[in-house]
Amino acid sequence: MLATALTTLILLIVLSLPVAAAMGVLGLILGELYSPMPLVRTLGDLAWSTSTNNLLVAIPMFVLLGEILLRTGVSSRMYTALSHWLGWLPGGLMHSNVGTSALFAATSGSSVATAATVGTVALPEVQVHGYNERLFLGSLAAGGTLGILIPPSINMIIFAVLTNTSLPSLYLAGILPGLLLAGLFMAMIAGACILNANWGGQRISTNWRARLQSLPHLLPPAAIFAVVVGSIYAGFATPTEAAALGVVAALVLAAAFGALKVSVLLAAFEGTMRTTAMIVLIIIAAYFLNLVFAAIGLADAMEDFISTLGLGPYETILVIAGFYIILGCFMETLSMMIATVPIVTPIVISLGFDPIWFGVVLMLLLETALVTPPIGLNLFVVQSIRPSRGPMNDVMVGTMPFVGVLLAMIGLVIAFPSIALWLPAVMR
Amino acid sequence: MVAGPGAFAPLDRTLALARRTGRGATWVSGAALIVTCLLVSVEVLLRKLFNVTLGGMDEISGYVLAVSVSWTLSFALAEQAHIRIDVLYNLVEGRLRAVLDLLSLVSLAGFSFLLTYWAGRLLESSIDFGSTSNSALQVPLWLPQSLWFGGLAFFSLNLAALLLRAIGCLIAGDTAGISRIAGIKSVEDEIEDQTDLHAPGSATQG
Repeated sequence: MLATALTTLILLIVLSLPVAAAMGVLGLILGELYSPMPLVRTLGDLAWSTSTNNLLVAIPMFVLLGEILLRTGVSSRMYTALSHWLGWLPGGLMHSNVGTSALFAATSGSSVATAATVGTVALPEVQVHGYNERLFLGSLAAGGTLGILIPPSINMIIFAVLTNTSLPSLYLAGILPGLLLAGLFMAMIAGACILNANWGGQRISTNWRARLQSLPHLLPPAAIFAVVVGSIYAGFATPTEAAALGVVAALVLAAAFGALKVSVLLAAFEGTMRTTAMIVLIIIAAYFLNLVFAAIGLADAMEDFISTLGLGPYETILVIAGFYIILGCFMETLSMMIATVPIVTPIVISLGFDPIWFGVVLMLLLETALVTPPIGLNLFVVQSIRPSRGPMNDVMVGTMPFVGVLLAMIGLVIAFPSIALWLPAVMR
Repeated sequence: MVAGPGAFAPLDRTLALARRTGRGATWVSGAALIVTCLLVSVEVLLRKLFNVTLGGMDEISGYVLAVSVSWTLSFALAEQAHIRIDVLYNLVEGRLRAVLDLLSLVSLAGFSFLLTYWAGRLLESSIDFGSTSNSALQVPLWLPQSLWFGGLAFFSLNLAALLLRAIGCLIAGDTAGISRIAGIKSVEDEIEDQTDLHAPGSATQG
């Protein structure tokens, strides 16, 4: 049964069926083969309860929030401001790349949007200041991945819905690892540029006056972050309500910057609903597939299989991490996550691990998947917005050191779970 | 759109109409989402500042999500936004690629037909039993469910029309036509969609 399920799934995916359809078809096939009851009868109820799930409402809201911010020009002002503060470090603007990514991630739930937004602003600077282009490209692709680790994260919402874990706790758990990862990225850049003096480009000239004058440009993202994350932890808003407040705040900002036009809104609506409809359809199919898995006892079979391997908990986690790293080289991250989380998470919990902690480890693994060739969406994003149309290879090579940092970070969070779990425990 | 036999002209016109309807549905959904955000914000602020509880917005926003998703599935389809893993797809060309595209259309249509059918059965039973939501609002469920079902039915009809069109291409031996109807976007197109790269400062497209 396990083998049938796995080979069918792989076959359907390789045949390039739409992921939602592949999961639905797999569910139907397994239900027909192994279930005495017609499970397809649950489809109506299940689709209704899934698509009215209050937590999922936060997804279009956060996407819309990002779509509106993207069009206000907030990010380029943010970038300039951060270059005054971080540009003196060895590696210059590459630190602004990481810093702006981290800050933008605090208003956006998407890694692709983060890499594209920061990249568009940053890339023209490569030639101006004479940086090592490869490392510069890498800092953009890798910095962008912070989008799904630092709250608000759309992937975390989906994880919370699929595994019934607390989204506020997940968001809290992502903050420290997010900051630490950004710090490690910057440390690596500084180290590389100290070792290779000509990689770091010319110094950015700045002074305290310019720094202080640039501060107001950091206010808009800080305000959005305060509204969204603050309202959750001050205890007066659910994540969905916080997302709604964030959208309203973004609308006010857009109006203040004179970017609130009908054409802007319509384009934002199209982008938002395209993403949302696609995600929700996959989630409906995933729910159906999970129901089938549970009904035919496949989830138990999977757990039994894992226990027959005779691995210890930490060995199992490493195997799972290895599985995600390999799969992540070839598979699109969102569908990879939705397809695997319902199967993998119960195994991890049965080993005695905290689901919140696993959520953070999973986000780091997904970040790695976003920048590992041959299929890494952030690599494509950065390549597609390069003004100098160099070879794709530059981006891949430049990102490799950052993949090393990501792997080290995954090891750190596995070895020291409190990096993720300390903040949720303190805030409780 | 295709210099094919004129027999497909009515079908092509229907598809073009469906496309425009889908785009319109996206705009309406987006507007509904903004209104929802405003109402939810008002509810939160009233609760926080004046201790006044309106209640019910969490339930209504769920209905907004369900209905808007069902009606915008077609737009996502037209924009080829439904994710497909293209590892094998990129390795093959011509006829084989058309087969994969046709297969993908058939599977999505099959899943959508089933979904629509069972959504219809759910709506039917909500009407028969006069079901209301299990909350203070006591919303008669047939109300949001019929809007939701309508969107799913629209998606299914859209897929049926596309399937007919693709079969027409198949009969005419037009494999490129099939990929045009049901193909996968190139990575570049996809990134452009997700990020709107040319937008900052001059967001005029759309």
